[in-house]
Amino acid sequence: MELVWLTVVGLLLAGWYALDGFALGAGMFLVVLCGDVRSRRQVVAAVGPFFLANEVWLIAFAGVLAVTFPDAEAGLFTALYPVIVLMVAGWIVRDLGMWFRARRPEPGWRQGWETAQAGGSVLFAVGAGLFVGGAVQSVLSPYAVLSALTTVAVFGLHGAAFLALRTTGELRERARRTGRRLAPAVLALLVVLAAAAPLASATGLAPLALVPAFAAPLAVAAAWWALRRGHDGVAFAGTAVASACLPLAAGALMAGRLLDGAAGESTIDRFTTMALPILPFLLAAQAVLWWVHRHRLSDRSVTFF
Amino acid sequence: MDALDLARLQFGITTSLHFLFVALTLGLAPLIAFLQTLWVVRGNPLHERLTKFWGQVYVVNYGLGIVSGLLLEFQFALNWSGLTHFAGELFGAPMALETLYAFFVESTFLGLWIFGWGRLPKVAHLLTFYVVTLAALGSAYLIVVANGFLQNPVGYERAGDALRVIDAGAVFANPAALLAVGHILPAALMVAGFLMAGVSAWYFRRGTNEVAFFRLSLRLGLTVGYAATFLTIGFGEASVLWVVRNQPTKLAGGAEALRVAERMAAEHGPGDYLAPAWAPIALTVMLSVAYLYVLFALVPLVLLGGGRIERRRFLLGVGVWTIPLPFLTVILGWIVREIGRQPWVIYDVLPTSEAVSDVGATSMLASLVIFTTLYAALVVVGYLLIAGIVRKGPRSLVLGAVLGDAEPAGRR
Repeated sequence: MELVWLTVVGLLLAGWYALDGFALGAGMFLVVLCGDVRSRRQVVAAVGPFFLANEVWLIAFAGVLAVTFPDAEAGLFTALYPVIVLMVAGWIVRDLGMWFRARRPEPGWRQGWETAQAGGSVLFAVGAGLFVGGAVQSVLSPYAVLSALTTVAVFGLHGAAFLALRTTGELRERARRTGRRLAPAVLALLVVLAAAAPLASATGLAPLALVPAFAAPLAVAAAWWALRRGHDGVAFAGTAVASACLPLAAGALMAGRLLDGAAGESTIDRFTTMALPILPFLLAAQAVLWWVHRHRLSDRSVTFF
Repeated sequence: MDALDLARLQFGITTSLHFLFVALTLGLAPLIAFLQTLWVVRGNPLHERLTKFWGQVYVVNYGLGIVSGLLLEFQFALNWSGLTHFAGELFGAPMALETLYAFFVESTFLGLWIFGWGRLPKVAHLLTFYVVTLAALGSAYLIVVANGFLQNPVGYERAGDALRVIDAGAVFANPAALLAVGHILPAALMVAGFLMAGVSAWYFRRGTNEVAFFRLSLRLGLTVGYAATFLTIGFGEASVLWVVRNQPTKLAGGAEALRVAERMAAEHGPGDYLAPAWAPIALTVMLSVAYLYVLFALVPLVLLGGGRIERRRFLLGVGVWTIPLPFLTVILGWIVREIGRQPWVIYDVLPTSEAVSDVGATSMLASLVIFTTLYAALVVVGYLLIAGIVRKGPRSLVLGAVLGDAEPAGRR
């Protein structure tokens, strides 16, 4: 049963990487669009419908981790205390940017909060990368720094692929162009990260970590190809897979330590009967949200942020 | 200040400010569900505008609630890992169930609601808000189950250096939780009802041609707020009676409290086991506020008929200026509940000092400064923006706006 929950915890974090990853990447993209008021508004509108439903994955991850792997969580959070403070602070700034931006009409107000959103997105991504990398080695170890860099780059590419998929016209072209330029750098970072993994992991190489470690660069290569050919859906799927692979690889590298810090059998069993049944419903609700907003952005798209 | 004090201060500041938003979210949701139901059933455009106007106040407030709540899920693991380790099964489980059954559902469906205007069929759109409202209630219940265990640990046994559930039914039907839910839900309706009435009063005082719009808001807010006052008092009094019997040290006074404090000192070593002397005073203040509402909210309620209240400038002014009162009172309620429990994190089981993480005071201080600054900005700017939305009134509605609408150009 511990293995089931290890998988669920891993999938919740991977879900956050794949979903909020593109919101963070799109947030960073706001900087690229400096001065282009119309495109910035489109970026926010493209992310809007998914925004609320994305960040819940990370909260759910934290909640479930605390019950199923309490000692592992306590150890991780105490060791990575400054990283988590940085990450949550970046998260708050990113969210405030999103929530406050459209609430006043002054252009300066909007631009200010868009910049806050972009800065918060970078900080949040750096925090997430340091957290995952630091969990494998230690805070501010070379592996953690490499992981932070890679996370920012992967999210940037993921955001560009999302915008290419969800927008039209000039912004779509621009997102694709940015994505094509970013892809090789992301690919290189992912290969280095995969190569560094056995050196960084205290327990040596976990064979299971090989799958996500190699799937990530492959997925980015596929996304690169798709961006050049104009297959936006394939490109987005590729970057989503690559994003999800980052925490999965780290999780596989430290699975032993997580399992050592698992909760007792009675806790796990009890929590299983209470929590597992809701998961299909949560996935279905997310799927409905995606189905409702499956179209590209148009003048008829509802905006709020 | 040592790490323990800093961690407690951070917890107090962040949860209190978070709850300001939670109270309004919890109270407004049923009111908006009611307004939208009216619209769907009767098809009157007035009800649609009411839903949108109060809906956008709700949504922005909900957003601030999320942003101020992000830290809370992480704070237990960051600063209170002793609690996570010791009572993960009893305290962590309801918290985790809240993230899955309540928060995840609430946010996903609120996303469907905000971006579903004109896109989802009317009835399906209404149903998404019903889910949001139910999830908000579920969230309140599960969080209070977690808190109830800290107040009145039941259904557990010690297993090594941690606690284990032996009776899950007792944990989820803990009287400390059920009484608190019964108290908090109507208190949230008071917060939302009197806010709705106060805003309407502001419009009538200033003169508005949206008479039907604010007449209905005033009527709804005042009626719900007034009715909820009685439930709030009832469950509040019941909670006090329960506390006197089960947590005697919480209200500081009396022979029973001294006897229990002596027993705790004998069992757990010397310490200050009695709540501060102001706890009963704060409790009295809370009750007095509620009785003031019982007495004085009757006046505008009587004057509702024929719209007579709409010309009473003084009374309207009172309605406006007392908007913050229920907010401050619910925070006071939490402060009594939580400070009164000290020095225990789990009453009579785990001292707070043993729950704090092994983190240096410098790290704690840095985190306190960073988050207090962010929260201050969030609360100040957030409330100014909500006031701005209220002031713009029902003529500029942003819910359901589309990308094709021009983004309002601003003054420079």
